[in-house]
Amino acid sequence: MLGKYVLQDIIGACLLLTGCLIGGLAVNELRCVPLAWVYSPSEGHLSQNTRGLNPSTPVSFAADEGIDRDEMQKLSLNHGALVVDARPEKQYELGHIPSAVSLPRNDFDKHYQALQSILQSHRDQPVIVYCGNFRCPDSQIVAVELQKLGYQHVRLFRAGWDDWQMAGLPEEKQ
Amino acid sequence: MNAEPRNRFQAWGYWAGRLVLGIVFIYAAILKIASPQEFADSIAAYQILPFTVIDLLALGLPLFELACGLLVLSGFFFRTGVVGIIGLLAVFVGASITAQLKGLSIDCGCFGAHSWLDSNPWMVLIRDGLLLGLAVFLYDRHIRKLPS
Repeated sequence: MLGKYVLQDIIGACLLLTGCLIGGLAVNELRCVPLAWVYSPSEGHLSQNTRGLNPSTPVSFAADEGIDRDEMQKLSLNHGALVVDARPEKQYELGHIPSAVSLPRNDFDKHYQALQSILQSHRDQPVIVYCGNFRCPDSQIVAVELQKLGYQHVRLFRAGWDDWQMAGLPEEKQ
Repeated sequence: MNAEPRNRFQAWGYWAGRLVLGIVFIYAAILKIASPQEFADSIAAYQILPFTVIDLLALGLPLFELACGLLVLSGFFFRTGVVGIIGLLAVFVGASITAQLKGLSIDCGCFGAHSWLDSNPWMVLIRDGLLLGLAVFLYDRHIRKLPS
Protein backbone atom coordinates (compact mmCIF):
# COMPACT_ATOMS: atom_id res chain seq x y z
CA MET A 1 0.00 0.00 0.00
CA LEU A 2 2.91 2.33 0.71
CA GLY A 3 3.87 1.91 -2.93
CA LYS A 4 0.76 3.86 -3.85
CA TYR A 5 2.01 6.87 -1.88
CA VAL A 6 5.48 6.58 -3.41
CA LEU A 7 3.98 6.53 -6.90
CA GLN A 8 1.82 9.55 -6.08
CA ASP A 9 4.87 11.43 -4.83
CA ILE A 10 6.95 10.55 -7.90
CA ILE A 11 4.15 11.76 -10.18
CA GLY A 12 3.85 14.93 -8.09
CA ALA A 13 7.60 15.56 -8.34
CA CYS A 14 7.53 14.99 -12.12
CA LEU A 15 4.67 17.48 -12.52
CA LEU A 16 6.56 19.98 -10.38
CA LEU A 17 9.70 19.48 -12.48
CA THR A 18 7.73 20.03 -15.70
CA GLY A 19 6.24 23.22 -14.27
CA CYS A 20 9.67 24.45 -13.23
CA LEU A 21 11.19 23.77 -16.67
CA ILE A 22 8.37 25.74 -18.31
CA GLY A 23 8.67 28.42 -15.62
CA GLY A 24 12.43 28.59 -16.22
CA LEU A 25 11.88 29.29 -19.90
CA ALA A 26 9.28 31.95 -19.07
CA VAL A 27 11.53 33.66 -16.51
CA ASN A 28 14.36 33.56 -19.05
CA GLU A 29 12.36 35.71 -21.43
CA LEU A 30 12.17 38.40 -18.74
CA ARG A 31 15.93 38.50 -18.27
CA CYS A 32 17.96 41.41 -19.67
CA VAL A 33 20.24 38.91 -21.42
CA PRO A 34 18.23 35.70 -21.91
CA LEU A 35 19.96 32.39 -22.54
CA ALA A 36 19.61 30.96 -26.02
CA TRP A 37 17.34 27.93 -26.38
CA VAL A 38 20.31 25.84 -27.44
CA TYR A 39 23.39 26.01 -25.26
CA SER A 40 26.44 27.86 -26.46
CA PRO A 41 29.55 28.26 -24.30
CA SER A 42 29.87 31.51 -22.38
CA GLU A 43 32.05 34.38 -23.58
CA GLY A 44 30.84 33.94 -27.13
CA HIS A 45 30.49 31.13 -29.62
CA LEU A 46 32.74 28.91 -31.62
CA SER A 47 32.42 30.18 -35.16
CA GLN A 48 30.40 28.44 -37.84
CA ASN A 49 33.34 26.55 -39.37
CA THR A 50 34.45 25.20 -36.03
CA ARG A 51 30.92 24.50 -34.88
CA GLY A 52 30.66 22.01 -37.74
CA LEU A 53 33.41 20.08 -36.01
CA ASN A 54 31.74 20.32 -32.64
CA PRO A 55 29.37 17.41 -31.98
CA SER A 56 26.30 17.87 -29.81
CA THR A 57 27.92 15.71 -27.16
CA PRO A 58 31.55 16.76 -26.76
CA VAL A 59 34.43 14.29 -26.88
CA SER A 60 35.91 13.49 -23.48
CA PHE A 61 39.45 14.34 -22.55
CA ALA A 62 41.20 11.97 -20.17
CA ALA A 63 42.90 13.15 -16.97
CA ASP A 64 46.18 11.40 -17.84
CA GLU A 65 46.59 13.87 -20.69
CA GLY A 66 47.19 16.63 -18.15
CA ILE A 67 50.54 17.98 -16.97
CA ASP A 68 51.56 19.72 -13.76
CA ARG A 69 53.20 23.09 -13.22
CA ASP A 70 56.78 21.75 -13.06
CA GLU A 71 56.46 19.97 -16.37
CA MET A 72 54.75 22.99 -17.84
CA GLN A 73 57.60 25.20 -16.68
CA LYS A 74 60.24 22.91 -18.21
CA LEU A 75 58.45 22.67 -21.54
CA SER A 76 57.82 26.41 -21.63
CA LEU A 77 61.44 27.32 -20.89
CA ASN A 78 62.91 24.74 -23.30
CA HIS A 79 60.40 25.58 -26.03
CA GLY A 80 59.71 21.85 -26.08
CA ALA A 81 56.04 22.36 -26.84
CA LEU A 82 53.62 24.84 -28.29
CA VAL A 83 51.73 26.47 -25.41
CA VAL A 84 48.18 27.58 -26.19
CA ASP A 85 46.21 30.03 -24.06
CA ALA A 86 42.47 29.27 -24.39
CA ARG A 87 41.26 32.23 -22.31
CA PRO A 88 39.58 35.27 -23.88
CA GLU A 89 42.02 37.48 -25.78
CA LYS A 90 41.69 40.33 -23.29
CA GLN A 91 42.93 38.12 -20.47
CA TYR A 92 45.79 36.89 -22.65
CA GLU A 93 46.83 40.47 -23.31
CA LEU A 94 46.91 41.23 -19.58
CA GLY A 95 49.32 38.39 -18.94
CA HIS A 96 50.15 34.89 -20.13
CA ILE A 97 52.74 32.13 -19.91
CA PRO A 98 55.89 33.12 -21.86
CA SER A 99 55.83 32.04 -25.52
CA ALA A 100 52.15 31.03 -25.32
CA VAL A 101 49.95 31.81 -28.31
CA SER A 102 46.36 32.98 -27.93
CA LEU A 103 43.65 30.63 -29.19
CA PRO A 104 40.56 31.69 -27.24
CA ARG A 105 37.60 29.40 -27.13
CA ASN A 106 35.21 32.28 -27.77
CA ASP A 107 36.90 33.18 -31.06
CA PHE A 108 38.50 29.90 -31.99
CA ASP A 109 38.08 29.92 -35.75
CA LYS A 110 39.48 33.40 -36.37
CA HIS A 111 42.54 32.77 -34.22
CA TYR A 112 43.01 29.28 -35.59
CA GLN A 113 43.24 30.67 -39.13
CA ALA A 114 45.82 33.22 -38.01
CA LEU A 115 47.87 30.61 -36.15
CA GLN A 116 47.54 27.84 -38.67
CA SER A 117 51.16 27.98 -39.90
CA ILE A 118 52.54 27.88 -36.33
CA LEU A 119 50.14 25.13 -35.34
CA GLN A 120 50.86 23.09 -38.48
CA SER A 121 54.58 23.16 -37.70
CA HIS A 122 53.77 21.64 -34.28
CA ARG A 123 51.39 18.99 -35.57
CA ASP A 124 53.66 16.17 -34.39
CA GLN A 125 54.91 17.91 -31.26
CA PRO A 126 53.22 18.43 -27.89
CA VAL A 127 50.61 21.18 -27.79
CA ILE A 128 49.73 22.24 -24.25
CA VAL A 129 46.47 24.08 -23.65
CA TYR A 130 45.58 26.03 -20.52
CA CYS A 131 42.93 28.46 -19.31
CA GLY A 132 42.23 30.10 -15.94
CA ASN A 133 42.20 27.19 -13.54
CA PHE A 134 40.83 23.68 -12.88
CA ARG A 135 37.27 24.87 -13.09
CA CYS A 136 37.19 26.67 -16.43
CA PRO A 137 36.10 24.53 -19.39
CA ASP A 138 37.91 26.57 -22.08
CA SER A 139 41.16 24.58 -22.22
CA GLN A 140 39.29 21.30 -22.52
CA ILE A 141 37.05 22.59 -25.31
CA VAL A 142 39.97 24.00 -27.30
CA ALA A 143 41.99 20.81 -26.72
CA VAL A 144 39.16 18.66 -28.04
CA GLU A 145 38.80 20.93 -31.10
CA LEU A 146 42.54 20.63 -31.81
CA GLN A 147 42.38 16.86 -31.48
CA LYS A 148 39.56 16.76 -33.98
CA LEU A 149 41.65 18.88 -36.33
CA GLY A 150 44.34 16.21 -36.25
CA TYR A 151 46.72 17.31 -33.49
CA GLN A 152 47.67 14.07 -31.81
CA HIS A 153 49.77 15.28 -28.88
CA VAL A 154 47.43 17.74 -27.19
CA ARG A 155 47.75 17.93 -23.41
CA LEU A 156 46.16 20.07 -20.72
CA PHE A 157 47.76 22.22 -18.06
CA ARG A 158 44.65 22.06 -15.90
CA ALA A 159 45.84 24.19 -12.99
CA GLY A 160 46.16 26.97 -15.55
CA TRP A 161 47.05 30.62 -15.32
CA ASP A 162 45.98 31.06 -11.67
CA ASP A 163 48.43 28.38 -10.54
CA TRP A 164 51.24 29.74 -12.73
CA GLN A 165 50.73 33.26 -11.44
CA MET A 166 50.42 32.22 -7.79
CA ALA A 167 53.75 30.39 -8.06
CA GLY A 168 55.34 33.69 -9.10
CA LEU A 169 56.62 32.29 -12.40
CA PRO A 170 57.62 34.61 -15.24
CA GLU A 171 54.87 36.03 -17.37
CA GLU A 172 54.57 37.87 -20.63
CA LYS A 173 52.29 40.77 -21.44
CA GLN A 174 51.14 42.05 -24.76
CA MET B 1 18.19 3.97 25.42
CA ASN B 2 14.62 4.45 26.67
CA ALA B 3 11.82 4.88 24.16
CA GLU B 4 11.06 8.47 25.15
CA PRO B 5 14.56 9.99 24.79
CA ARG B 6 15.02 8.00 21.60
CA ASN B 7 11.79 9.44 20.18
CA ARG B 8 12.81 12.90 21.27
CA PHE B 9 16.20 12.43 19.59
CA GLN B 10 14.52 11.24 16.40
CA ALA B 11 12.13 14.18 16.46
CA TRP B 12 15.04 16.64 16.81
CA GLY B 13 16.89 14.82 14.04
CA TYR B 14 13.84 15.02 11.83
CA TRP B 15 13.41 18.79 12.26
CA ALA B 16 17.14 19.47 11.97
CA GLY B 17 17.27 17.33 8.83
CA ARG B 18 14.38 19.22 7.27
CA LEU B 19 16.03 22.51 8.09
CA VAL B 20 19.40 21.48 6.64
CA LEU B 21 17.92 19.98 3.47
CA GLY B 22 15.60 22.92 2.85
CA ILE B 23 18.20 25.60 3.43
CA VAL B 24 20.90 23.86 1.38
CA PHE B 25 18.61 23.52 -1.64
CA ILE B 26 17.21 27.03 -1.40
CA TYR B 27 20.71 28.48 -1.09
CA ALA B 28 22.04 26.43 -4.02
CA ALA B 29 19.03 27.38 -6.15
CA ILE B 30 19.38 31.12 -5.55
CA LEU B 31 23.06 31.05 -6.59
CA LYS B 32 22.20 29.23 -9.82
CA ILE B 33 19.18 31.36 -10.66
CA ALA B 34 21.44 34.41 -10.40
CA SER B 35 23.87 33.10 -13.04
CA PRO B 36 22.25 30.59 -15.42
CA GLN B 37 25.05 30.79 -18.01
CA GLU B 38 27.61 29.63 -15.45
CA PHE B 39 25.34 26.76 -14.44
CA ALA B 40 24.88 25.85 -18.12
CA ASP B 41 28.69 25.80 -18.50
CA SER B 42 28.93 23.50 -15.46
CA ILE B 43 26.37 21.09 -16.95
CA ALA B 44 28.19 21.17 -20.32
CA ALA B 45 31.51 20.36 -18.64
CA TYR B 46 30.15 16.93 -17.62
CA GLN B 47 29.98 16.03 -21.33
CA ILE B 48 26.92 13.87 -20.81
CA LEU B 49 24.01 15.82 -22.27
CA PRO B 50 23.52 17.22 -25.78
CA PHE B 51 23.75 20.99 -26.14
CA THR B 52 20.04 21.14 -27.03
CA VAL B 53 18.85 20.40 -23.48
CA ILE B 54 21.56 22.09 -21.42
CA ASP B 55 20.02 25.56 -21.33
CA LEU B 56 16.55 24.18 -20.59
CA LEU B 57 17.95 22.35 -17.55
CA ALA B 58 20.10 25.33 -16.51
CA LEU B 59 16.96 27.45 -16.40
CA GLY B 60 14.52 24.92 -14.94
CA LEU B 61 16.53 22.86 -12.42
CA PRO B 62 17.33 25.77 -10.08
CA LEU B 63 13.62 26.61 -9.90
CA PHE B 64 12.90 22.96 -9.14
CA GLU B 65 15.53 22.99 -6.39
CA LEU B 66 14.02 26.15 -4.96
CA ALA B 67 10.50 24.71 -5.05
CA CYS B 68 11.59 21.44 -3.42
CA GLY B 69 13.55 23.30 -0.74
CA LEU B 70 10.55 25.47 0.07
CA LEU B 71 8.20 22.47 0.20
CA VAL B 72 10.51 20.60 2.57
CA LEU B 73 10.96 23.62 4.81
CA SER B 74 7.28 24.61 4.88
CA GLY B 75 5.86 21.09 5.14
CA PHE B 76 3.34 21.87 2.39
CA PHE B 77 3.41 18.89 -0.04
CA PHE B 78 6.40 17.76 1.99
CA ARG B 79 6.70 14.30 0.43
CA THR B 80 6.69 15.68 -3.12
CA GLY B 81 9.52 18.04 -2.18
CA VAL B 82 11.60 15.26 -0.60
CA VAL B 83 11.07 12.94 -3.58
CA GLY B 84 12.19 15.77 -5.87
CA ILE B 85 15.32 16.25 -3.79
CA ILE B 86 16.04 12.49 -3.76
CA GLY B 87 15.76 12.48 -7.57
CA LEU B 88 18.04 15.50 -7.93
CA LEU B 89 20.65 14.09 -5.57
CA ALA B 90 20.60 10.71 -7.32
CA VAL B 91 21.26 12.49 -10.64
CA PHE B 92 24.03 14.63 -9.10
CA VAL B 93 25.74 11.58 -7.58
CA GLY B 94 25.47 9.68 -10.89
CA ALA B 95 26.88 12.64 -12.85
CA SER B 96 29.75 13.09 -10.38
CA ILE B 97 30.70 9.41 -10.60
CA THR B 98 30.56 9.56 -14.42
CA ALA B 99 32.83 12.64 -14.43
CA GLN B 100 35.29 10.88 -12.12
CA LEU B 101 35.31 7.78 -14.32
CA LYS B 102 35.94 9.94 -17.40
CA GLY B 103 38.82 11.61 -15.57
CA LEU B 104 37.26 15.05 -15.81
CA SER B 105 38.40 17.53 -13.18
CA ILE B 106 35.49 19.93 -13.21
CA ASP B 107 33.51 22.18 -10.95
CA CYS B 108 30.20 20.45 -10.17
CA GLY B 109 28.40 23.79 -10.21
CA CYS B 110 26.20 22.69 -7.29
CA PHE B 111 26.63 26.03 -5.50
CA GLY B 112 27.20 28.23 -8.55
CA ALA B 113 30.46 28.41 -10.45
CA HIS B 114 33.84 28.53 -8.68
CA SER B 115 32.44 27.88 -5.19
CA TRP B 116 34.84 26.55 -2.55
CA LEU B 117 32.07 24.13 -1.58
CA ASP B 118 32.57 22.33 -4.92
CA SER B 119 36.36 22.41 -5.15
CA ASN B 120 37.01 18.75 -4.28
CA PRO B 121 35.10 16.13 -6.34
CA TRP B 122 35.34 13.48 -3.60
CA MET B 123 33.94 15.88 -1.02
CA VAL B 124 31.12 16.68 -3.43
CA LEU B 125 30.33 12.98 -3.74
CA ILE B 126 30.40 12.46 0.03
CA ARG B 127 28.28 15.57 0.64
CA ASP B 128 25.68 14.55 -1.94
CA GLY B 129 25.66 11.00 -0.58
CA LEU B 130 25.03 12.26 2.96
CA LEU B 131 22.26 14.59 1.79
CA LEU B 132 20.72 11.71 -0.16
CA GLY B 133 20.79 9.55 2.97
CA LEU B 134 19.17 12.35 4.95
CA ALA B 135 16.42 12.84 2.35
CA VAL B 136 15.66 9.10 2.28
CA PHE B 137 15.54 9.05 6.10
CA LEU B 138 13.05 11.97 6.16
CA TYR B 139 10.88 10.43 3.47
CA ASP B 140 10.91 7.02 5.15
CA ARG B 141 9.99 8.51 8.53
CA HIS B 142 7.11 10.44 6.97
CA ILE B 143 5.65 7.70 4.85
CA ARG B 144 5.63 5.13 7.65
CA LYS B 145 3.13 7.26 9.53
CA LEU B 146 0.60 7.03 6.69
CA PRO B 147 -2.27 4.52 6.89
CA SER B 148 -1.42 1.44 4.86
